[in-house]
Formats: sequence, structure tokens, C-alpha cells
Amino acid sequence: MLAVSLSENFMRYGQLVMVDNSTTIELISKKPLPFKFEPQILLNPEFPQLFEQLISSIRATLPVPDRFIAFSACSSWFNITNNKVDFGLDDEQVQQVLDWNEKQRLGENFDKKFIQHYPLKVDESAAQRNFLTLSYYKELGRIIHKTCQPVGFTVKVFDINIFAAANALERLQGQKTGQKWGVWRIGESSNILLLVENGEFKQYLEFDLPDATNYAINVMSSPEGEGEKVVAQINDLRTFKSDQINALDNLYFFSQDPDSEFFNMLLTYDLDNMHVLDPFADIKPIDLYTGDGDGPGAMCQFLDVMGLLMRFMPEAHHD
Amino acid sequence: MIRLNLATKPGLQRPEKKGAENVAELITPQTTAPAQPAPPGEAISSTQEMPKIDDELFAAVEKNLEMLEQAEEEEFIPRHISVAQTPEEKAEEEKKEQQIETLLKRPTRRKIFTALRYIIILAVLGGGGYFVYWKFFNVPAPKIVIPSEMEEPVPTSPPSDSIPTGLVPEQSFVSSESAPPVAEQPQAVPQVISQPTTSQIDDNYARQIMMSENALLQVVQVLTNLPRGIRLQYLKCKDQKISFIIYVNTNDEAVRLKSALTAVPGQLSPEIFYIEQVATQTPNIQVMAIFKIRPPDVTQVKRYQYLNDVQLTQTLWSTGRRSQINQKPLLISDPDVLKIRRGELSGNGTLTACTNLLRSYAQNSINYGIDQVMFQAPANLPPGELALNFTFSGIIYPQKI
Repeated sequence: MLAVSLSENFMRYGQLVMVDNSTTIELISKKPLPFKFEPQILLNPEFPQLFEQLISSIRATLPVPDRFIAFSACSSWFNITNNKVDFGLDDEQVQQVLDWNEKQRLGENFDKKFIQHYPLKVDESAAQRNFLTLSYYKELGRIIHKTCQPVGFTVKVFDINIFAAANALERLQGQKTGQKWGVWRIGESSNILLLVENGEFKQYLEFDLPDATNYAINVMSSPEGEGEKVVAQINDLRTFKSDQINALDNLYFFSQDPDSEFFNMLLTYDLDNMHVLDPFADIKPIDLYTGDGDGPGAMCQFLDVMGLLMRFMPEAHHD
Repeated sequence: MIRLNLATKPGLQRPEKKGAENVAELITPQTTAPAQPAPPGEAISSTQEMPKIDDELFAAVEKNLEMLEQAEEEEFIPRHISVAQTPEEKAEEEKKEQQIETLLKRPTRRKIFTALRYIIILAVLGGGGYFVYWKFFNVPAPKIVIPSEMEEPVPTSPPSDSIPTGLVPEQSFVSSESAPPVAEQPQAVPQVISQPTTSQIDDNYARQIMMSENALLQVVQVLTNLPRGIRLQYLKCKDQKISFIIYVNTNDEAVRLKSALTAVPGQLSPEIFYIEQVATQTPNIQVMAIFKIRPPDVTQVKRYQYLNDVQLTQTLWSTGRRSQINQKPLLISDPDVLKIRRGELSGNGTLTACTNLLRSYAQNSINYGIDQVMFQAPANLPPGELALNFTFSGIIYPQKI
């Protein structure tokens, strides 16, 4: 299984192989993209060809021939919202309500988007059912499928980077995450935060730190949750007003930009509940990319790749 | 937590069942020979590179190819109504839209919205009433006028060893809301800073101040060893640890800094010291370090003088003036002089001035121990010597009873 994570400027990938009932990560690597991977690229007629060339070049260098592929892409491609629906409706009615909600948001783009609604676990006292609604341009899915087919790959999974990273952390940390925890991607241009509560997705946020003192929240999947408080505490951390994140039990952070000054500064902080993890601390890949260094600060950029690979690893392998 | 798969069908998803798919099949390598690497950048033709696959796999691939087309066909009901639709279809479509809207307009929700409307109206009326009261009926409290003879000019020359006696004007020591009015001291207080014959604060507190003073001296050691022409991202001292990120011009400078800081045995113990070349603006050698401060010997307790809030503020402020830095008055967290309280100082100055300031604070022998230090470079660096913004946070200890 080849797992590929697409960020704005890089393609990170890894290969998982099973031989004699034993799984190994054969390869972890990364490649710069010849284009900026953002929705505007769909307007470029050369994009499908460039994408196919990239997948071909990766396939040609795989240590073991493979035919299945799992993708994840950066959040800028997706609309992510929490929705609530009253109890007592059947599945068809629920879908109608959720689609109607999404149609009001997307307007004329509605027909161009591929839309899914995921039921979320709720506690018994909740008055309504919770759903996570995701949508992205169908054209992206079409290009991914149609470029992978001639190269010899069947697409098995398409995920979102931050969700894949959260899945990796959940598997790697187990109960150590605590009840309320989050994963924060320190981005090249913007920051992404995903919060988990009682083992279930709670809130998704995108925010900027535009100047020396302020923050701006650009996207929030739901107004419910501690997200805004966490962002404010992150900002206080940056401006040295405070040095604690007490809205969560644990906050895991990573960056796919190893030169980020802010990320490097955070690495020197010694806070009890803020962590940066090396996903390969226990499972060593045979061929590991170390071009950015081999410490947790460099290795954490592959958290989402690890999250994709872990979907295909037996549970007992790393627990 | 949920697992997403946006490569399946659209619409409402079912919770993923563990073990629903045979993952072993997906990660077991092919038995055929490895594919020959293609030249970089060249697409692989389907005839050359397609693996040999059995019928079942071929069917899976075909299914995958048509996945999106199938997905579109399976999509949900509310679509844009096409002009080609028959009137019956159109009427049915509109009926469905109305059903969805009815579902959303439930009586409970309507009641909540009505209640919210009333709350907002009451809030607006209340706010308006308060504004009218504040604007037209609120009588301002009389101002306290300080007699001119009480005012003292701001000292411009370095003060002598002793602090002037008598009251200082209120403006000279408190300007922030967080600094409360200073309570009258319950007993006579010394008016000059001199080494007392016995310590005026508890020995346990004295030991903590000794630890703080030692930490300040270690920060001084770091600051005095920084090379010239550096860019400082931050330097922090807290919990007996010093951490910093700076950018220096050459690798040699970074190595020399490390040697200088670890030269004094038993003082600073490096936990992390990374030197890395980064492809950003010059200087481009990044030095990232964390040093642990070895605890000093505090068996022999020093004598410390107790200063009341007025004296303390004036002493710290005059120390700042003497070190030629711009410093705001001390902010005190609590007016109760019998408690342990926090006091914060902030300001800016050159690297040399800040170093002198810290050295002076470490030698004051008073009831204020700075235990947290933060330096950052200002956003717009002035030309000349490295300028720094600083925040010092410390503990004000009460008088020994």
C-alpha cells in the first residue's frame, strides 16, 4: 500500500508491505511539487498530466511493486462543518436535511462538489444527532482516479491530512491523549487545529497569526468547542503572555515546514501538555527520508502519512 | 475518532466497521517481478507498467474507475430543478424542498428563537438605559490633587547609593490598573537601602531570592557572551532553565558561544544545543539552546532588606534609570503586603543596558526575586547595537514578623 499525503508544496509518501504476516514500512520519503497544490490548480489544463508524472515517478522508485494507493490532501481543498439534526428522522430525511444545509452554504458550487456526511458519536444526554459534513470539488477526485488508473494504482482511501495525523496520534498515544486533546499543524501560511473529545472529532479550525500580537480565526467547523480558547492560548504562548494550554489535556503539534521559526521556537518550550512526536520512534522504516534531520521536529512532518499507513496495519503491531 | 474516506460513495456514511475489509490483501506485495524504473517526469504507459492482474482484481479496478460516475448518479435528492422536467416532477421536487424546510422549522426551535429575541431586546434597552445614566446622571468622583510641594522631579542623573526619604508622588510608581493603591505600612520602615544587620525576610524566602539572583547572573553570562551582529528571536529564563534561539553569522561564532557558556563548570548545563544553517535572511546560522541552571549553594543565607511597595517601586525604577533603559513602573498583583505577591517589570533597551540592569537586580539584596526573564527583539530593529524588549516577572516577599 502506497500512502501519499499532498500538502501545498510537497508530496510525502510511504509504503507499507506485508510479508509472511509481518508488516514493514519499506519507505518514507518526500518530493517537492512542481505546482502549488491548491484549488486554483484545477483551472490549469496541465495539472492532470503533471500529477500523473509525479505518481509515475514515485511508482518507478518503489522498493516493492504495489497496486493500491491511499491519498490525503491538505484542508484548503475541503469544506468542513459540524451539523446537528433532530432525533426521530430516518436516514433519508437526515440526508435531505444535511444536504439542504450544505446547499445553503455552497450555493452554485453545490453541484460541483462531492459531499459526505459522517455520523459522530454523541453522549446519551444530547438533544440532537451530530454529523460532520465534508465536501470537495468532484474534479479533484476525477483527476486523482483517472491519473492513478493508467499508472497501475487503485485508489482505496482519500483522507484529509489533519484527520490522518489525528488518527496516527490516536493509535500511537492510546489513552495517553486524555479526554480532550488536539492536533495543531503549524502551516506555511496558516495554522490548522483539530480537537477531539471523548474519542470523537469535536471541532476543526483554521487560523492565522498575522502580526506580532494578534490572531484571526478564518474557519471554524462549529462554534461549539474549546477551539477559540485554544487559539487564544496559542497566541499568548507566541507573545509570551502565558505559557500554558489549559483548555486541553494534551496538544500535539507538527509542521510540514521544518524551517518555520515559530515551530522551532516551540520545540524549545518545555510544557507538560504540549508534544511533538516522532511517528517512527517505535516502527522504524527501512528507508527513511532524513533530508530535514532525523529528530522529532523533522519526522513529525510525516504524521499524516503514518496515519494513512496505520489504517492498514493490524492493531497489535504498534500497541 | 472517525476515519474518513472520501473515495467512496457520497451522502450519509455508515460508521466504519473494524475488519470489514481484508487489509492483508491490500498490503501484500505482488508476486510479479518489480517494475523497471521509468525516467523521471515521464508517464508510464498502461501497456508497459500495468501489473499482471487476475480477473477479480481487474473487476475491482474497473469498479474504481467508474466510482465517481456512480457516485454522481447516486447523489442525494435536492438538485437544481431542470427546465426539462415535467410539471409533475417539478411539483414533486418543490414538495420535497418544502418538507425539508418544515423539518427545520420545528416548534421548539421557534420558541427558542422567540425567547432569544426578547433577551436581545432587553439587553439593548438595558444597555441604552445605562448609557443615558452614565452620560447624563453620573457625577464624577472628585480628583485627588497632590500639593505641588509633594512632587519631586524625575531624577535625571544616576541616584546616589541611598534612596531619598519621604513620600514619592503616586504617578512615579503606579500607572496600570493592575497595580492597586499601596496600603500604609503598619510599622516604621527603613528609608535607605543598606545591608541590614539581620535579614528582614524569612530565611526560606531568602533562599528563593538567592536562587533567582543566581539565575539572573546566568542570564547575564549568556547575554555577555552573545556575538555581535546577531538576530535574537527570544531568550527566556524560567524554572531554572535558560532557552534561546538566535541567528549568528558563522558556524564558528556558534561553536565559540557554546564553549563560552559551558566553560564555567557547575553553572550552566546544556540540555539542547543545535546549530543549523537555515536558508532564510542573514544571519543564517540558527542556534537553538536550552541550558539547565545548576542550583547554587544556599546553606549560607544572605541578609535581605525589606522594602515597602513605594520604596520597592522607586528602587527598581531608579535601577532602571541608572542602567539607561526605558522601564515601566512595577506592576503589583495584590495590595496585601502580608502576602507573597507577583510583580512584573517591562521595558526596552540595548543589549548592554539590559545586561547591566540584570546584573544590578541580582545585587540589590531586597525582598524582590525575579524568577522569569523574557527578551525579544522588537519588530522594527533600530540601527546600531541590538535592541531588546524585556519582561521580568518576580516575587515580592513579605516582611519577617
